[in-house]
Amino acid sequence: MAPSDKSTGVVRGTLDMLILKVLALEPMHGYGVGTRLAQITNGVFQVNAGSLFPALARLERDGLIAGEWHATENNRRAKYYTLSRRGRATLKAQTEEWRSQVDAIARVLRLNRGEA
Amino acid sequence: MRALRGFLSGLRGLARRKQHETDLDEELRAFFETSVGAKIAAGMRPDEAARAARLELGSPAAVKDYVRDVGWESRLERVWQDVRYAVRLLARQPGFSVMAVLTLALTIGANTAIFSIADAVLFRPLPYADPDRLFVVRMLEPATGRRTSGVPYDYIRVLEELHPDVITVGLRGPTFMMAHTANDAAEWVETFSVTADYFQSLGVRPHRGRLFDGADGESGRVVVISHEAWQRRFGGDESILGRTAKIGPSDRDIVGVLPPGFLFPSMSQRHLYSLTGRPDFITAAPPPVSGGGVPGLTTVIFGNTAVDPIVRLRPGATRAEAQQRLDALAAGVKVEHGLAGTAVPVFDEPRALLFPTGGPVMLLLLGAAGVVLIIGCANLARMLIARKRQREHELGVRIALGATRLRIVRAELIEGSVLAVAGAVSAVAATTLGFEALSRQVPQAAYGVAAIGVDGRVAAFSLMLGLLAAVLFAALPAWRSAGLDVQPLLRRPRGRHDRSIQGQALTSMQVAMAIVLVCGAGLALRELIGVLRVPLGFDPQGVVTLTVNPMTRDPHELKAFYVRAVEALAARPDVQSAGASRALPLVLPGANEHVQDETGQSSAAVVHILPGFFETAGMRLMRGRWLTRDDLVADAGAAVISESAAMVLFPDREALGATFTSSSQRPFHVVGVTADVQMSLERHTPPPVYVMPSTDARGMTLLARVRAPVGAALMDIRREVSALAPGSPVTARWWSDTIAASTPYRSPRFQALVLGGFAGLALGLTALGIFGTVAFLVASRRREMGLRMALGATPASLVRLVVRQAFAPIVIGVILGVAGVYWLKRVAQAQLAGLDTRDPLTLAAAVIIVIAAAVIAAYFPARHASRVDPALVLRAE
Repeated sequence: MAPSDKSTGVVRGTLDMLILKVLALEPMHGYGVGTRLAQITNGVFQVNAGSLFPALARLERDGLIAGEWHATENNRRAKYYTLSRRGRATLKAQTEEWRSQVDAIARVLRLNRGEA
Repeated sequence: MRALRGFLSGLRGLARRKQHETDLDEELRAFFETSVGAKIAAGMRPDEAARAARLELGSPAAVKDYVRDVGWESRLERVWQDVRYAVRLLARQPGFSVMAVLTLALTIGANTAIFSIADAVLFRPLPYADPDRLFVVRMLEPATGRRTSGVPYDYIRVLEELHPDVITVGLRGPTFMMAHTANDAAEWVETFSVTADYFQSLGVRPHRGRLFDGADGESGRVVVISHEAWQRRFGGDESILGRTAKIGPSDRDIVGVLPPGFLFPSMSQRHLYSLTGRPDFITAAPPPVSGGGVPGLTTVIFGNTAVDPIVRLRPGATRAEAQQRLDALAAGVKVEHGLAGTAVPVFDEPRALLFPTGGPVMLLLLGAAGVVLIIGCANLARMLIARKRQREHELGVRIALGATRLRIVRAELIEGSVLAVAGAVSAVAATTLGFEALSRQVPQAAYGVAAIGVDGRVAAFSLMLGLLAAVLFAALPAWRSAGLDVQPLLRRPRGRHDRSIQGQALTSMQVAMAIVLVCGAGLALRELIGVLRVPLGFDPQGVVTLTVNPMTRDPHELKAFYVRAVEALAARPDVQSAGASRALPLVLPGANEHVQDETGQSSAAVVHILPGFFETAGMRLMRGRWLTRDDLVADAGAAVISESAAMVLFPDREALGATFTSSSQRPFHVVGVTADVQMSLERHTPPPVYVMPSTDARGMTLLARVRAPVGAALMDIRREVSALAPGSPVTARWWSDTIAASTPYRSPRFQALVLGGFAGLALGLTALGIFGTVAFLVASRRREMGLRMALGATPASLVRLVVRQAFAPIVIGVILGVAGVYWLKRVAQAQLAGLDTRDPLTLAAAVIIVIAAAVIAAYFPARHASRVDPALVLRAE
């Protein structure tokens, strides 16, 4: 089993969606995805390799992302991941689902005594 | 869709495991290097950067493990790991492994062997289209429950024209031997003739060409051949459809080839000399006509009685409803012809015809084989438990290192499966090798003409059975390990054992099952002895029987030929006497015929014989005289009748001198009464009356009693007859051999052989199990035994102690076994009508045999206990 997501600070089950979102901006290699996530979230989400690579492998298997070997800016070979058409559709669906859930949760949390 | 994609990428993953591994390595290296580069760029010292990056990455091995876990193929890989681990473990303990595989091979092999026959008899769908809507019509005699093959013409007409549920009716004639001439050499071949609707009713499609249509029967010019004949006689010739075959006097066009494996729904008649029920040539018969004798009482196609009509019911029709309608229609026919009280037509399943007695017996044998397997599994379970005790420490270490319970249980089940697969493969291999020997024992008439053999289905069955066995024998030990606690496992000194209640329960179960099997084998043996003890009334030893069909249709020539042959045989110096008969006791029972005395009608078998038959057969004359050559010449209707025929025909007066007429209205007078002979071992055999043929001398069997029954005599006599009938094949056999090969002898012998083998196996395995258990107990109580010896126990008292303690589960097993036998008797009696199970003697013998085996098995390890040297044992502690 993959290690729990607790140490990374990522909300359970959202790591795949976050990776898809990062890759939607531009193709990136594994290290890049991890640092970009940390940057965007100001270090709140620290995704370690033990979570990141299984997630990438899973997404690639499901055909949501595609990996290709390219030279890095330092002239090393690295596997760059690109979002596929199906990946884009999945990201859209998951984002909408996430938004509606967040809205719903927010409404519940805003609930005051006496309101229905 | 998603599942399919996952499955495919899993397959790709498996196929390119190496590639994926190197890719992953490189990706992780890139990750590490990029991370180091970034950290140096941020101002870290190279060594610090590398250290930080390593911390960030964590253990590359762990990361790789996690990535590998993605997808189903990883689970497969771990199972594969477990398989390899199991194989390594088993290879390290060859003694245990060989024992286990051998046990499995024997027990699964018993099942495989029986299944290779039972599959065809019980389970495999018959090779017809929609076999559920296909029925054979037979005549049921209400008084006796006997079913016969010929259906009167009027019933056939009713089925064809009036019965709303019947779509088609197909008719077939009996086996007819015809000469097939190829390359100027003639050979007798089995043929069937069938009506145009026959194959259509069965829904069989030709392999090549076509089958019959309506016009073929009238022309009589065409023939369909079996797939086997096509391969064997015509070398699988692709242009077969243009060729002709000379059947009898005329050339016929080959218009079609039947599919391979096609099976005529017919009773096998292999016990009648060499008939197989699988004819090479099938001719087309014209529509049926009403037979002679009592109007409408027989149906005739091509001059032969049509047998076993096959009907196809319309879709949706049930057998019960169709039977009800048939009953109503048949009642009308009976009223019309005044046939009250006679047999009624019934729908029968083709399986019942193909395998008349085999079905229930096969179920019984399959059950027995299953019991043998369970006994073997009990031994294996015990072996595995014992072996695991030795491995408890290792198990503890594995659990402490983080192996999950699931993984350990799975590993044990996989170990069992590895053993089981090895056992199943050996079993299939052994059955394949030994199949020839087995199939020679199979009584053909009981199990029919089915293609039996070891095929893919049998192999799959064995493998399934093996895995089931693995679950059976590995689940108990595995279940125990699932509940294991780590601490005691690691702390407990190795080699300490506790007596387990499970082991004792296994022993009781084995003993109980062994008793049931030994008792079953005993019953089968007694049935066989009963059959062998039936008084015959004749003496088949040293008698050669010969069948020859000279190629003549002229009845006078035929009769002259047989008379000449008998005289030629009798004149030989090595022949004591010779004769001929149309019916042969225990080989060919005579056909039933209506015989009339002055007062009324009775049933008897009118048997045509030639002079010398009685003496050659070794029959005993009660009153009067035998038939002689003078009677043959005079042709005045002299008859010798059997005692039972005398009882039936002339119950209240002296038979000698009485007269009767046969169904062909020929008058006879009784000149002699012979002692009864056993015509067949089946019930309802008509009593024979022996007469000389006036003109009709078809189908005679020649007999010659030789002075010295050696193989050379058989060949010489055969040559003599061949010389008399050039160009006609002659079959010569010892009468006693034919009888020994016939179903009534082979069926009980087969059952006794199989059940005896199973019982022996069960007994051996049970004894081995008891031996193992007691030896194990003794080994674990060496110290206690030493102490007892030191305190003054005698060796004999120690043996008694061990045997007594080993005996408790055996006694429980005996009680359960006896109860099981009584319970099974009730089940079996319902299934096997002929089985006489009220046999306390056999049961008692079975109990004694099993207890004796158990005592012997327990005695040897117990004696070992008494040889413990107390000084050595106590010092060793």
